[in-house]
Amino acid sequence: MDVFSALASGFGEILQLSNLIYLVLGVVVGVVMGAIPGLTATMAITLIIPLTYYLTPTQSLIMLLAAYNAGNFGGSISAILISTPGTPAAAATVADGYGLAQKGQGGKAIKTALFSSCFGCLFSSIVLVLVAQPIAKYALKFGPAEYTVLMVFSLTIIASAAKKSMIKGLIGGALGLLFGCVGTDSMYTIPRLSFGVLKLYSGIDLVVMLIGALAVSQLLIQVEKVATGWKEAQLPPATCKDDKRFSLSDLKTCFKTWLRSSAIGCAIGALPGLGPALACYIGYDAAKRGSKHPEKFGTGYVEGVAAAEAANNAVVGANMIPLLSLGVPGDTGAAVLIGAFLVQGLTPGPLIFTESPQTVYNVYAGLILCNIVLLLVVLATYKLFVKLCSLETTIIFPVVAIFCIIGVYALNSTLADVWIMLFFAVIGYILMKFDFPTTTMLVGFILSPIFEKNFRRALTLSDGDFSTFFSSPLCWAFWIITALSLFFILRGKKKDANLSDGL
Amino acid sequence: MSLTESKTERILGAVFTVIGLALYFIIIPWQIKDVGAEFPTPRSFPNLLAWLLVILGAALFISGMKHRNAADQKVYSITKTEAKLVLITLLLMVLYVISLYFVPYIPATVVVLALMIFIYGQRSPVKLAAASVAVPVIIYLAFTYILKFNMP
Repeated sequence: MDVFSALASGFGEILQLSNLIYLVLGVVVGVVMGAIPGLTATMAITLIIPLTYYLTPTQSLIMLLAAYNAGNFGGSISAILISTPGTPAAAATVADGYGLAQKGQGGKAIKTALFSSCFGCLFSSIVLVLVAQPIAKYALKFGPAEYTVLMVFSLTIIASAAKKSMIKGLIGGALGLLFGCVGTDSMYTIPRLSFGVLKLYSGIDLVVMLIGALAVSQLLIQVEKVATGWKEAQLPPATCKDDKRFSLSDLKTCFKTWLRSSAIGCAIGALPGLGPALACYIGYDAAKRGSKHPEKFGTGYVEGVAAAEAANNAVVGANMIPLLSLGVPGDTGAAVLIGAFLVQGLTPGPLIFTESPQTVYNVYAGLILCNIVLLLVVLATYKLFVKLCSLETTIIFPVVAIFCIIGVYALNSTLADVWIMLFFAVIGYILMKFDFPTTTMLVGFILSPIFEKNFRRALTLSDGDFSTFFSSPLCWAFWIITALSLFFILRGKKKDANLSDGL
Repeated sequence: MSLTESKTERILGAVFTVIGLALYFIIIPWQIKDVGAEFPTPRSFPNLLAWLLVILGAALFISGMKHRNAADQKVYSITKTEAKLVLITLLLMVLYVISLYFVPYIPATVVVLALMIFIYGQRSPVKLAAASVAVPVIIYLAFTYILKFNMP
């Protein structure tokens, strides 16, 4: 049976009412959970898994994948409307998404995020269908040395995201890298920087840090305005129809970015251990550097939203590549999905293509169709979210504060996470107040464990020989990309400095 | 209270330099056991980051010194009223978390939410009561019965 007829058969299977209901349910659950700060797409899948015991493999898997995809998008709703990313994958959406909302273009921002997310996931789903097995072989070539050099390249994002002051950006990055060291050493299993606090032995949760450093700190900055008498609706209303629409000119602006960011999301998703949080920042950074108007990024620009959202949702489809081909999860969401496969009596890995081929193609079809369902569900309901966030500041800010606390508590059912969140809220507030970009701290935090673990593994395997980082063509390719990246960043900063000096 | 950009850079530069040195000489040796192995050890990466903070902190301080007489510097300021409201918000959040160790979720949340909404300037009793009762109840119902979470 060839790919296209198998896929067509998959579409036919999914479009039956008994399967379509679960697809829609997965999308709804995913959007709602993704939109609530502290509840993540991974949590959405985890909660749904027990429900899938009584379902067929197709129903179960398409519902979970729909929740995962919709959850990654859902985080952008709160990122845009209340400057609070609902999921780590939406962290890069905040600057431009909320910036657009502050100009009365919240509707445009949500639609941009929606279309970008759907495009990203569709793109990666098509890539998944066509090239799953060859790409899985490419992913196998990545060893610790290759991952380390990839992380060195990723660290250049910190320099790129540093905005006006490179030193402040690098300090933020260094702080993030340092916070990423908190926990238990992966090789010697000794506690590091845990200060005797049991909770810190397992490290700092990314969501906890994100909510604290990005959301609650931003809330505190906004509270200053309330002190000066700002009480009316938090977001200004739209001034014209175009503020609520994703127009043809927006499509022209974003299309190239969609392609670039989706390709980046696919590449990141195909590599185990990286995830959508990293993809959104790399996609955003690449779009900024390739844009004709990089100065507009971070001020409320559709291309910024498009870049982050296309990249993070492209990870969803691409995560399935190592999952189906090698049985290796791309990130924590995919790891939970392995559990779902096992519950249904399926074993992810190369044999799944011969043992249950139709189920695999049903999953492909479900992944493609869930984007259409996501489009319809969100277009029908996004005004409700916008209305909720138009409440007076005297009500919306306290409610957001409570949501952040309860959302963070719900992660691990412990108040210790809330204390850590409050700590990062204070750090984030101080950094924001003095123009330190918190983005660089978050990027450093995400990269720190991946970088250090692979760096040490590579040196252990090579008996301390540093030439291991120059031993393969993939390593060399990433070193060259890193050098080029640094060159363009420094050139860009020099241009900005010349412009501001009036040269 | 207001600070010029250059003064802020000098202060924060000094702070980060001191933090980096404290990390290298005190905190890391105290918090990370010396396993006696070859590079890279559990202390290697944190030590590198500590020195990076020292260097960057010094660079920030020097930048502040270079620009101290520059015209058109940005001024960071916060009024007493703004600072008071920020501190009150933080304090209320801290008190809320402490109360959750002793008081069930709904009463604690209703009280703290009502206090916060009132302090922010909401004077309509209807809106205040509606928000401070409805939101905790909705969250409770959603988290407990739909998501099956145990509330604090």
